[in-house]
Amino acid sequence: MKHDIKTVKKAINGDKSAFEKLLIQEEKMLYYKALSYVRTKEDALDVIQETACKAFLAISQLKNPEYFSTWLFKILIRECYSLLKSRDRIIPYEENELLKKLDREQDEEIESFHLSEALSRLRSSYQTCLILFYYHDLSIKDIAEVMEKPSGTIKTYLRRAKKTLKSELERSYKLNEKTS
Amino acid sequence: MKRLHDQIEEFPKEDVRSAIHRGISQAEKQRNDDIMQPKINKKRRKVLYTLGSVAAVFMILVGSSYYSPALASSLSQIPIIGSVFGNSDLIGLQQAQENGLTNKVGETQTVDGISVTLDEVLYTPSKITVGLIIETEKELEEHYFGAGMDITINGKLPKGSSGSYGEEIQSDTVITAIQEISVSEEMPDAFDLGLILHGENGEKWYFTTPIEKITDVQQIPLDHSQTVDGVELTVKELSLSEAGGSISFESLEDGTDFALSKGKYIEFKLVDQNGNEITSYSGGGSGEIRGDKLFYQSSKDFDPIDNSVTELTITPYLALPSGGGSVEIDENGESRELELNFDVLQPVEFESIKVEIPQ
Repeated sequence: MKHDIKTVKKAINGDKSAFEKLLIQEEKMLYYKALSYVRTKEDALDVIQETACKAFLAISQLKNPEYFSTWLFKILIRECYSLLKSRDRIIPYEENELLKKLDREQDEEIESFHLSEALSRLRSSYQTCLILFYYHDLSIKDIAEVMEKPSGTIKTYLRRAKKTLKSELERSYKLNEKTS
Repeated sequence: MKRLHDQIEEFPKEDVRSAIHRGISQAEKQRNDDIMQPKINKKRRKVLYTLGSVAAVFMILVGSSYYSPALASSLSQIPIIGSVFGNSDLIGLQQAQENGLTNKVGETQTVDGISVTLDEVLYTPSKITVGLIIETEKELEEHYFGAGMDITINGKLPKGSSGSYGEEIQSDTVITAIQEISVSEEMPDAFDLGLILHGENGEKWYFTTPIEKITDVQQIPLDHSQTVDGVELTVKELSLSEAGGSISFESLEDGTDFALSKGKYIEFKLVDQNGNEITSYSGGGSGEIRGDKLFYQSSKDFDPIDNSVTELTITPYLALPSGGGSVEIDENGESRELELNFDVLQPVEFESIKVEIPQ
């Protein structure tokens, strides 16, 4: 969403009402984005509250007012991730969506049935990386920020995650073949 | 992803708005509760820069004094300190004090058990320096007096002022402080200086004293301009007195973001004809945006030079900090941290200026 640069600059200079106005302009996106990660209304509202707090404390450091939205949503996603992490939960995803994107990368088609099982066998950090990258379309840099790891580590996680996922899928196909 | 919320119940507008509101209030509370954050008295400081890691920054006085409990107990028995300027490490202030260039005041005001004595004031072409002795019944927290005093000129608040404030802990209950105020065009050569010191608990100490600019000052106009790497630097004047010297300058560069301004990092290296370096001091200055240019003006002080100095070589340079940042405070008192951009902030090689010192 394009914001009025003047309002963003006011917010950067500590203007509370300008900041609140900007967040209200983004309210629907904030809510649904949070909901897509944390799934329940209560958690989404908690995440929005934390995001508003952290963003207001940090807005003076925002260098480019035109990137306000991007910056705000990075904070939101980080808050979603930390909430899920504190509850030992993995970022939720829609299987079909993730499948479509993963399929483009795989040689053979993955069946939905096998995917969730194979994914659940991965380390949680690998799962998170895959979901953020393929399902939420986050860049390596953004994932690095959300997970508070260097970009190089995220690249490694992704590479290993794909490799492990592939072997897990092959294993479950074989198992499936044997049982059928 | 959209499909996830397509079928979800109506958007809970009121709940989301109150979550946003709660978040902002939470941030405000956190900010107020943050005791680590010194309460800076920001009023009426137009644009003030405090640089982090420049050599001999005057602000270095804050918190750098060594505190010895044994010494403190003996010092606390000493009723009064000789002179704040005389006891300081600044040669210019010591000499000014010895040569009687300072306005000795000695007025004490006590509010809620905290006695503040306005010890002496020195008014040079570049700055006003004020020495304070603060005696308390109990130990005060750090930064109790924020960023120092506000000033009035003949009873009126100036449009803007900049300066620095440093304290030295003498004992549990005695602090000496030096406040520096940059001289602005609003200040006549002689006027009634009002000084207001604010305590953390709302206490206020108010002094007024007539002050006069020292007259025994040698002013050497330079008006030397050069443009290097997009920075147009004009070194305007060199002034010399027994209280020290100063170089006034202005800089102009393209841009509208002070975070990227090089002007505020300009410092000067001074070397005499024999290659001896004169200690110089960094300090604040003021800047403003003029159209699409950043204008910055300041004057930098250095220790007094003696009669043996016949020539000075002044080399401007950028004292780029290795970390940290600056704070910009606008005319409404709102502050903003300026992050450093090291892609832009690269050293600049200015040419040196040779100045003959008339004897």
